[in-house]
Amino acid sequence: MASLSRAPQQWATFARVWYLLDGKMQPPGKLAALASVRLQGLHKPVYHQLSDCGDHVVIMNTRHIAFSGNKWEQKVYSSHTGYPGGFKQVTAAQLHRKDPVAIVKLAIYGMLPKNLHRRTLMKRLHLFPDEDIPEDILKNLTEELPQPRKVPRRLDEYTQEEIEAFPRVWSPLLRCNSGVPSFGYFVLHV
Amino acid sequence: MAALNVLVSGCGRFLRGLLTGPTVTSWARPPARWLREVVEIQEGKTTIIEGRITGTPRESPNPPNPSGQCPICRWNLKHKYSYEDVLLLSQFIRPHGGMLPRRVTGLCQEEHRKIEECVKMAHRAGLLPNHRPKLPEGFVPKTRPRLNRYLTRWSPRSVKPIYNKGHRWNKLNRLPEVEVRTQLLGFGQGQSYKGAAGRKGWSSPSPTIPFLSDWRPHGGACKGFSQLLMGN
Repeated sequence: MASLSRAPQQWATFARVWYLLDGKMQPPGKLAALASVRLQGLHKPVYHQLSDCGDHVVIMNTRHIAFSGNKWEQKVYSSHTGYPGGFKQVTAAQLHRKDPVAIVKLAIYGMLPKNLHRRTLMKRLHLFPDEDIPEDILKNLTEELPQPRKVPRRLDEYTQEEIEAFPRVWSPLLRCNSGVPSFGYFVLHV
Repeated sequence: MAALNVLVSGCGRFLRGLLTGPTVTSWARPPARWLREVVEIQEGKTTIIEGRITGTPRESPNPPNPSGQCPICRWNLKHKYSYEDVLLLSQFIRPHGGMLPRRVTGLCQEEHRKIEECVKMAHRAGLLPNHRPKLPEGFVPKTRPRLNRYLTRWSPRSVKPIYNKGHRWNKLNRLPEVEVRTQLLGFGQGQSYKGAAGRKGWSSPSPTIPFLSDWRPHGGACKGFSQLLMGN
């Protein structure tokens, strides 16, 4: 492969790239970790804090993120309006209902470096609650990043052959009146 | 028969396993009574309730470890399954999602409890959509927007928000520390969990049940057993 001359090589190294990330059934913390790395430009070997080498990240389906454990009920987002008595605390579930984008936005905001670059990097982040993304952003997208969490398959997503191929692990073991384990009645309401 | 009864009642599981285990499981002995399905037919003023013999589900032949007492030991599945292994878990549940009793399935106490917890977590993660509880006839539930969750050990209704996570010297029990080795590649593999001490806080898989995939040394995001068996 022929190597590029100087100007095209410079352009290829420092061009700003647009990444797409699908947040369906993904934990928002892992999405935020990926996004913050790309926004800062830490994934590039030419990274420097002052060289403004970050990329754009578009996250879709933020309405369908999944928290592990009981974080929907336990995780609390706090804020203060500045006025006395203005301390507000909302659970993750309430915040998500009010604004489906806020959880991912706050997660990424907290993972970026706490300097003046943070606001500019947040401007390069684009969050959409569902799959509809404006056309001009769609035209810019170059790569889709793989999802951080492997989503497990539901029972109805397995084919009948796979279900039959899986071995049956037990046979019914019922005791009749004498107390000796044997096969017996098992009521099936059809 | 009387002697057998005495042994079964008096000496417990061990002898029961010796005397009846091999005869029941590994030798292909036909069952004493088949599984029946109850059918109710209404003919005018006569109601006929009949038990028709149906196919008895039998254990698949040649388990890897025939000398095991419970199905999990027999198939070498101890510490190998997780809430994602729906193909395994669905064998132990009723059509409406409840667990089958231990005396029917033949599981040992600890494995029965583990499977029960995994089934609850699978239900909460939405992995068993066709095993929902039966609703009364004609009842249309209000479809609220459902939140996606996974690895939910405790019931969502039983949990309160954590308004105060504590000061620096008295922080709550954080989730086990995650060592992200492959962060730049974007995959969740290569994580390992270390234990956490402190007062109870975030609901996380309890350290007393080490079988759950998060607490295994090689990490949380490993394939479930069913996926490995399928060759994925």
